[in-house]
Amino acid sequence: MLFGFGVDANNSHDPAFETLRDSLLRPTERIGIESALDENPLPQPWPATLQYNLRARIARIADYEAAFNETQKIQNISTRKSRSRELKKQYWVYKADQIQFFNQAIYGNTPTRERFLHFWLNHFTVGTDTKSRNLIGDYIQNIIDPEMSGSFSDMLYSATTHVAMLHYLDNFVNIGENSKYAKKHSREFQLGLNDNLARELLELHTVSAAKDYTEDDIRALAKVLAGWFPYNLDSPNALKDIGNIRVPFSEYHAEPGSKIVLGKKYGPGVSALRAVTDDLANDDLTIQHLSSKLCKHFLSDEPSVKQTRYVADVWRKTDGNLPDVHTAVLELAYDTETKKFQSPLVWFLSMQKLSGATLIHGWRDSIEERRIHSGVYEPGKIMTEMGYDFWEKRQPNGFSSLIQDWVSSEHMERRIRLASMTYQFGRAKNSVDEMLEFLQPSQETINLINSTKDERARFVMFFCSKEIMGV
Amino acid sequence: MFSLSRRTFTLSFASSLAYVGFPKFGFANATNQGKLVVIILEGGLDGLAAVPPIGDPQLLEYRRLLLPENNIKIGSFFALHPSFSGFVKMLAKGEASIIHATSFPYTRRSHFEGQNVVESGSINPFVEKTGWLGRAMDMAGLSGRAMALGMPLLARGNVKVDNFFPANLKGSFDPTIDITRSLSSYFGNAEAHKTIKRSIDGVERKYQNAPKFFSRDPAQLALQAGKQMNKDDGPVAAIIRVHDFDTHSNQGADSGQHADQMRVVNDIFVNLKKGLGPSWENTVALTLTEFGRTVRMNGSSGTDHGYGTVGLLAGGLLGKSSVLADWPDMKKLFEGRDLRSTIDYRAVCAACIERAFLLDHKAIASKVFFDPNLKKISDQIFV
Repeated sequence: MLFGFGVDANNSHDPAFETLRDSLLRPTERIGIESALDENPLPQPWPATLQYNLRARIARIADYEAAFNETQKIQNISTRKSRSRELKKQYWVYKADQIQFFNQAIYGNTPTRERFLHFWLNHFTVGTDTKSRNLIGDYIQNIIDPEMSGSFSDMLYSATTHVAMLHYLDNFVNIGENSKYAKKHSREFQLGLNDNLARELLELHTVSAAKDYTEDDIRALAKVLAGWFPYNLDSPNALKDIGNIRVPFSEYHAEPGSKIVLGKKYGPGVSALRAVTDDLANDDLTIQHLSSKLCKHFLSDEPSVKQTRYVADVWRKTDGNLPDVHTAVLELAYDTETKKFQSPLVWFLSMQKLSGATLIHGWRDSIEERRIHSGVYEPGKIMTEMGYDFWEKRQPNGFSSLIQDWVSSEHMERRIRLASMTYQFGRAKNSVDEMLEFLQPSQETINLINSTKDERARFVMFFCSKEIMGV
Repeated sequence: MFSLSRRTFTLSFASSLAYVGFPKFGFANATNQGKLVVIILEGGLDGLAAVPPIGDPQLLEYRRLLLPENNIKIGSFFALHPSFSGFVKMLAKGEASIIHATSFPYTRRSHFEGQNVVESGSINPFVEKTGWLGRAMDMAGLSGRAMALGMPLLARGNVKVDNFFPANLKGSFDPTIDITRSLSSYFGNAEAHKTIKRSIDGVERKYQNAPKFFSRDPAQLALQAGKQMNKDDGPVAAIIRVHDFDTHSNQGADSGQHADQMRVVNDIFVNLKKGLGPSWENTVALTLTEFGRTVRMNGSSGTDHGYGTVGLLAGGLLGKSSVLADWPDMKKLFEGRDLRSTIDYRAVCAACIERAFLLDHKAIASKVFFDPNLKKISDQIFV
């Protein structure tokens, strides 16, 4: 149980609760290594040159499209291909984001906080396509992570109004039927409301279907959302018309008049959405839904009523202050005996931390395009093979937290294979005996691992043990 | 001009494939064993776009801009979307059928609930942990082994099945028997660890008789699925999953997002037939989607979640072609917005199980679909 909370070889196998809580509440510093092939790569601050603000990320999308279209005109196939590759290197900042995401978990000093980051990133899922892939890094680093230090209502509003979310759930075609834009253009082409984001905001992000909202509620909420970033990601108008890209509201595309959502009236204009999301955040069904989901993700596939109530009570008492809510979950995890099966990604990252391996790219490895035979791997590749890719086109309900969805021959095969790769290529700093000393598992596990002298087999079996996998 | 480039596919998992019912090692399936392919269309298939009821005067009034111009007429009332160039040939040959104005009895229009309903076979979402295909295969004694990255709910039965899905990690090497055997006995037989132990046992047997190449392209997947199912020791069922039917915006008519997805479905049918070869005679493939789409177009040239839709079937096991519909009055839409469902699609699934796995309808109704009153319609669809 504790292992999954990001304990690594630097902590003791039995860390104090305060150690874990510090790791949960400390703000994140962006960390990475330069190259996984260095002798002793030192975790350093993530370079400023690889940090891109949201406007720059959006601007790149149009620039890439234009540049890509130019390369398609090149007749010579090999020139065209190599030019394409260069373009990708230059514009696909998501690859740098993915390296930072993995490096943060492996080399950062807030591993417990990272676990909660994974939870919220999955709860407020943003699936991506070729255009929006470049935006997720900003979503992770500047929205989900910082908002974990504040209230749920802040995170809800920030996640909902991020360009990546507005694009993903089709809000860019959610236009007020009586907006000034509609009045001017409705003769030329079809436009109007789109209820995708409204529906998922209610069903998945807050109150859930238990609220018994009606289609009218969804439609009214769609009207409140209309006008929030009404642009294609590669549209030249997007960055021109929107002043503050964090509040990407266009009055020109918005639905005038008041709207009634779940029996309450909201006025027109930019402030309506905040009022709605605050009311949704405070709804007791949201509190119950999220408390249960947190317990399911961190404690047990079937959390007890007592556990869920404990978290919900803290939520209510602190008005959804996430540090307090997270601490409550951590308290329950620290005290509980229940085993919780580790998701493939958490398992993989924990394996890197615990063994001191450097299997995953550092920032220079990506830029220099290390080949596989060099013994370093791209995070994206790992995530795809584990079926747990945050940069993938996927469904808004995110990845399951239940063991039944993650245990199959293929998933076990992947774990054995990746453990093997980590041993063979990862330049692990810690031997199996050192890790055994640290983990102090059951006699049964010790016997298993000592049943052979083959170090690779011992390494693999260590990481497939009951203690490590959480079963 | 408001223009919308359609979503481009990412390289991985634009669709996915699962095989179920490989026989136990050393055994082969009975040579006349029927085969079943379920093609899951995620997002909600627009039945009125796939098979427009051109004979209904209301149709033009509601969705003029979504109606394909180059429809393929298949009678006086219905037409097929031009994407179905291969499927229409099967229809002409007596080896394809269309069921219209049909749905599982689920009307809440949520993807996640709906997908759970059409895969689990229960009308209450998230109640059943197994799927209708899994339960049917258990009943027919066909469970065996499976091949999928994650086991789809549809295929989960009560008899645990192990599965495999070749990894795509260069430089890595296959798990060795010493490791899998040690882990297998370590996990032992404790109830809590049974699933893990079985999974590990499956890893060991993985490389026997397994197809080596596993494409991610849907038409290729269908071709391989057909070839696998044609083998004596191949699987009895395959599940192909296609995404991106949830066309809330810019759906298109003759061409466009929905049309492209329908072409994928067409290609799946065509390639299944190609891959199956002689086994096509003994196979039925059917589409499965969580709901249809709204009759009227919405504000972004798309459609929202609906209710009634169309089901497409193909395969020599049908023995004849039919277009089955009890066409509802389009002036009285369901909740003022959706096509009604007048045929319970569970009955269509039940009919396919009945004929492919040679099971009794009453047993299927009560044990697979938990509804003893489920109608038997196999004689209407199969010869």
